[in-house]
Amino acid sequence: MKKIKPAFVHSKRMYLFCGDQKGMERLTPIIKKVMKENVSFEVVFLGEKEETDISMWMRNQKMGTFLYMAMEWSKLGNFKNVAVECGFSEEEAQFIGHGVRMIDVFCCKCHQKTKIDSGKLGNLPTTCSHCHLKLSVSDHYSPLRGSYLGYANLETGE
Amino acid sequence: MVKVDSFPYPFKGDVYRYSNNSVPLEEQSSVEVTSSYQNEIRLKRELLTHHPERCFQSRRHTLKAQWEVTELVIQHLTTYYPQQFSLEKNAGKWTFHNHILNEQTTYILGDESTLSMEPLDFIGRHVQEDLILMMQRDGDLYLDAGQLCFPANWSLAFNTGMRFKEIHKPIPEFKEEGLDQRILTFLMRMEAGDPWVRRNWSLMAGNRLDTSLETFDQWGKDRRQVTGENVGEFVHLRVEVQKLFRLPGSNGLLFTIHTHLLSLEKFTRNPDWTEEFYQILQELPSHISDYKGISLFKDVVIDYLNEKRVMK
Repeated sequence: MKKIKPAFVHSKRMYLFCGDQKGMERLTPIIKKVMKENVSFEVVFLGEKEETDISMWMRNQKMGTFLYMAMEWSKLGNFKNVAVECGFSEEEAQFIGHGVRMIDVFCCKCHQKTKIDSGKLGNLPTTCSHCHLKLSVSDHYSPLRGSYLGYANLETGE
Repeated sequence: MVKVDSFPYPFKGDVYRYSNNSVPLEEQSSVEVTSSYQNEIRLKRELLTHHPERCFQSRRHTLKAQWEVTELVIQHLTTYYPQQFSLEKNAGKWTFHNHILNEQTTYILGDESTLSMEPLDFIGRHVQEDLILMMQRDGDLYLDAGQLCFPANWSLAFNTGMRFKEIHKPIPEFKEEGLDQRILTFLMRMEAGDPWVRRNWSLMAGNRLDTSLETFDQWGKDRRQVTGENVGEFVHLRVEVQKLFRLPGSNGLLFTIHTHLLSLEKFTRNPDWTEEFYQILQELPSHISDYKGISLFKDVVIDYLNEKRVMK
């Protein structure tokens, strides 16, 4: 998986920055740019352990705001869901993950999911944790399943 | 088994490449009843009973379109096969008769509580075709429902909910050649009352209709069992006749897929087909034969076709 870099989006009324320590480091160049251009912005720092409820903060934002959210992959998904529920579309936000990213592999045979480290893609096959079929992980992704397709591996499937 | 004379020969010319090979559908029926109707319906229903998640998927917003599909298919069955299928309408209740299976089903159109299953699942159990429903929204087509018992190595459970281009991502060179966008644009422009048909082909070791991705570990290994001795009887040309209909009420698209299998031994009784297919396979690029899963035994098939050629 390639590393996602935050990109500055021009001409917004306000910018929202939300992230953990490392996430904020990734967002620093964007924050500096916003400060230099003298545009309104708000920053919410998420501590590594605390479970911060930012839904009220996001719900109260006005139109024309742009959200940057940067944190560990393991937490990003839940916070992204909160942002979407609060009305932020993909076009009004950027979500940047760091650290180990686990992805789900959909077993072609039993339809169960197995988590793997995305950094190990290409060095696999993996084994389905449910039916134990050896799987080749493809880049075929199902948004509805939220997972990548695992094919029966040549050794067992052919 | 399908007779040689009714087999839908899929090729035009000595060279095969991926293309939008759709042509206008002349006899405008979405379905066809063949001599193998009872065997194939029995097999479909067994698969649906034992593997419901593999064979039927739907999203809730497709219900209206599913009723449209049911109405369309019943209209075609009763129009083109009036001896085998009929429909009675009585005080808002419709009764569909399947005279081949001696079955009748009474329901109120649009009222799902009057059927024991979803409409697409119901009507799919009366036709040999697999039924795929794509819905159009946000300038795209989504696979949102389907009854699929005889897939050519793909998974309905995985592909449900995907956009057209996402579904076709694994096909080599499909995106690079711009075919995905061209075919998507063609499909989005399709109009109600103006159906199309295309034929897709592959070769397979064996004669299973249910070559699902879920069971690849059972049938995929047969590709290694092809020999010069068994190739004529063992290897089959698999042709999918895919018909495309725009649904005027929901703006969805119905794909009906009728799968036909013919052994090479029977196929080569036609000298023109033998010669043309021999030329096609000899010239076929490796990315196509790899994707179609025929690379392991392609040379054996070419040798067999060469033996059967009638030199002009």
